[in-house]
Amino acid sequence: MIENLIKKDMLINVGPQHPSTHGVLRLIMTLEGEIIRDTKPVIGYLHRGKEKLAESRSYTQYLPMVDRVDYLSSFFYQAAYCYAVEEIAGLKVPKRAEYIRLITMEFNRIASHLLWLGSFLLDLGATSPLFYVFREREEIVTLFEELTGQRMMYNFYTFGGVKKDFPDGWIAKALDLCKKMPALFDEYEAIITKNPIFLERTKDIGVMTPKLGIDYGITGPNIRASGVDLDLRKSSPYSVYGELDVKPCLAQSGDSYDRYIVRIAEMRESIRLIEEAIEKIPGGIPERLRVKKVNCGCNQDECQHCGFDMQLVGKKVNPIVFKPPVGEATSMIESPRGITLCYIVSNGTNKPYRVKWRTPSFSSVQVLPELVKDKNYSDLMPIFGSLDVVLPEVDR
Amino acid sequence: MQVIEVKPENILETVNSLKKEFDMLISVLGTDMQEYYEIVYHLLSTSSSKKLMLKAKLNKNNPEIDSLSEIYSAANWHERETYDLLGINFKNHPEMERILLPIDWKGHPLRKNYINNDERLCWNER
Repeated sequence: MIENLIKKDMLINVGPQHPSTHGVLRLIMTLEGEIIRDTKPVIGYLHRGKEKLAESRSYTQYLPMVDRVDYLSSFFYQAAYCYAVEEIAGLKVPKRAEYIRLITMEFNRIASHLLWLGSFLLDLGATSPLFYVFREREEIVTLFEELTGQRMMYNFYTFGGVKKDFPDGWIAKALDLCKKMPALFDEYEAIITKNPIFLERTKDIGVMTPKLGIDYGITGPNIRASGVDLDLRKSSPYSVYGELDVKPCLAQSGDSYDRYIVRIAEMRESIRLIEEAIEKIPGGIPERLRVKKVNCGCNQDECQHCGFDMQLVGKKVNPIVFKPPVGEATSMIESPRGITLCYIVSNGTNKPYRVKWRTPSFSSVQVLPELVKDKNYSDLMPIFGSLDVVLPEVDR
Repeated sequence: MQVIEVKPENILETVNSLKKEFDMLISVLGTDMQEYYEIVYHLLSTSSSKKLMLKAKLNKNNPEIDSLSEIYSAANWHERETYDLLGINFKNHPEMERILLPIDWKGHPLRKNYINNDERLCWNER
């Protein structure tokens, strides 16, 4: 360090309260003129001890805390936790509940990507896209509010299903939104994609080669922008993604611009998935299902109006005496930022023995020094912004 | 998911032979299992999405295992996190420091016998 200072290198500190670090990330940087020579990320400012807190809470009590791991994509973390617990406890999830999970998750992916788009362009100095994306995000959040009662931190999934069915008219509103969205994405693309200033700042900046990305465990849209076809929704389907036709969105060069292109394409893809899922959901719209259930009333498991797959919560668990058998389970899901892993060890009591969260942003921060090395200081924000890092998720 | 149990001294050989197929290290984690510490590695193949779990049991008195940071760069931070929260020493790791907790923190919270009685903290922070 001292040798560097003698050579007229400058040591500067970025953060932890820097506006473009999306939270509290500190970077200790060594600059030579304007060229970044060395970067050392310092994380842990938002460490809340989620893994330790799980030890003293029952499975159900821990459920709302899971939302707070990443506040922008709460549904995914709840899903990862529920899948792991269901695997240990051997609970079966009704198909209608799985479809409701899928639809909410895909809407959540769009909301998360939209917020990323706004804040990424804000990092680049464009203030107006933030208002555009919040206009659309507001409509998705309103849908969630109608369904779950909350605008963030939904706490909507339970072990073996979801808490309640769609309210009356929700599906029609969702379909209306799906019809409207692609035109709005066209609007963003008209403003952003061919914008010469945007191209100048993001094209060929922060190139991540497939080798580097795989070595550092980068997942999600970041690695798909480098041309690696890794999408768990397609390659090892976890929910009912196996029944839908998921198309991976890939780009080739792996620079900041391609990461933008992939995310825009993923939002369009999510819209398509939602439309497909609403078409295929067992039981159809809730109003009709309710009438058919009353008229049928046979209560047999195979019945297509009141059978198991039409229910919402397969087997209700009592939160106090819910004790999964001794064992362990891993669930991996594709969250908006990459692969989220939840690993649970149970020792037969009503509290989890060990919960481990593997979060995609953790790896994205780790790879940052490699991406910004020997680049201009002004390239830091286009690179870091395009990685879509959410700091609460890094520190857990 | 396939599970392979490895002896701690053979971890480098095993991972080196698996590296060709399982090219991505997803996570490294440790669990305090009362009699021993268990280290779990999650590996993923990017071409076929196959998942693999490697497990190694470590001695409770002197928990140490070879670091994988030479083979996978991703192991660097995951191992630091495991050291920070569980106190496992990874041999030949480039910088074995705390990552999530402050550097002057005492003890390793995910150990089951951990009690926070750091006198520098106020009573309600302990």
